[in-house]
Amino acid sequence: MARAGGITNAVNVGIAVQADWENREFISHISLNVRRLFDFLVQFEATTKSKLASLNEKLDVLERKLELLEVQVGTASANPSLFARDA
Amino acid sequence: MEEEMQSNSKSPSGRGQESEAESKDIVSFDRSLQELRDLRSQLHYAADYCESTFLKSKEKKVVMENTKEYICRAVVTVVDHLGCVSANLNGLISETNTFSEAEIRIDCLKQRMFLCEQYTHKFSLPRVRWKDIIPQHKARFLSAATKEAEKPNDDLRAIPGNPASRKTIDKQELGKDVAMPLFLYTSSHKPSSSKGENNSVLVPVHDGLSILSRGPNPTFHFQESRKITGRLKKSGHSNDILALVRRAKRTISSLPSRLFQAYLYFFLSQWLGMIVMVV
Repeated sequence: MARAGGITNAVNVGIAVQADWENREFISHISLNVRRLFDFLVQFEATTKSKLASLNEKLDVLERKLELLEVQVGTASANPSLFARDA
Repeated sequence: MEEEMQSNSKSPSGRGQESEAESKDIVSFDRSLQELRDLRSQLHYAADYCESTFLKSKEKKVVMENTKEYICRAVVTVVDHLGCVSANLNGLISETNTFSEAEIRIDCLKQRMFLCEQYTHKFSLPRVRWKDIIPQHKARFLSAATKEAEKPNDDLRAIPGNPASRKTIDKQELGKDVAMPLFLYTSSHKPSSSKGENNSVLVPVHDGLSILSRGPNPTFHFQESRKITGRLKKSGHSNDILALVRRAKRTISSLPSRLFQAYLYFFLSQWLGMIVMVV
């Protein structure tokens, strides 16, 4: 009886250990996927920031061009005699 | 202009479609972000529920399996939502057609402004440009008839077949020789020969001075220059004789009869003297 109880105990311990290893494997898989997800998010943040910076630069250039055109149109409209042919 | 009008006529529908597509993208992006936020709260709630059930239940293995399955589904859902959000954001950022279109329009406006500046400069330049004053010719001076006939017509401003340019050339050439009166011209421009020839040639010069100084005759000067320019191939000596005869003929019509007689006398004598010399 004692031998049978010792064997069952060993079997139970083995099953518990196996289940523990399975749980650890599952947790490692989940943690690995979460880390990959985190890496993706970091990379995505970097690329998005660079794209937004380039867009901001383009918008600045367009804004400057528009300001320059506005000033030129303002000077031209302030002196309409310059565009008159009879002048 | 027609293309611009067509583009302006087509632009409202195209812009409406573009704005609708942009609004759809923005709405989907907002939805995916909102779902991610909801997932966060749901995951917290699920974790608390699993913990409590695992502690309270006797069949912990079953609870553990359910929790594992829920974690797998939750991770997959989070990854799916993150992918959707990132794709939407990337699409919104990479759509730079509007920027390029605005840049093209600004460049077009810049070119138009440059053209306007060029036109302005073109119209304002004649105000400050120096204008040459065309010399005025007086009838009491004569041009070098023979020399003018021998001159090559190499003026750059002269356009063949243009009467206006010919007139200006004649005026300019006459203006160059205007500084020399007739008696000086005949004394200096005659070809070298004997002294008797010079004396005979100088006769009409003296006469021309006495007459032309009294009454100006502008037609006399120009008509003679035109006639002489038409005969380029004749020699200078015969040209002189013919010029004298023609000048006498033309002055006949304008001068009084007494002066005509005097002129005729002088020119005939000069002509005879020249013929004798030639012979």
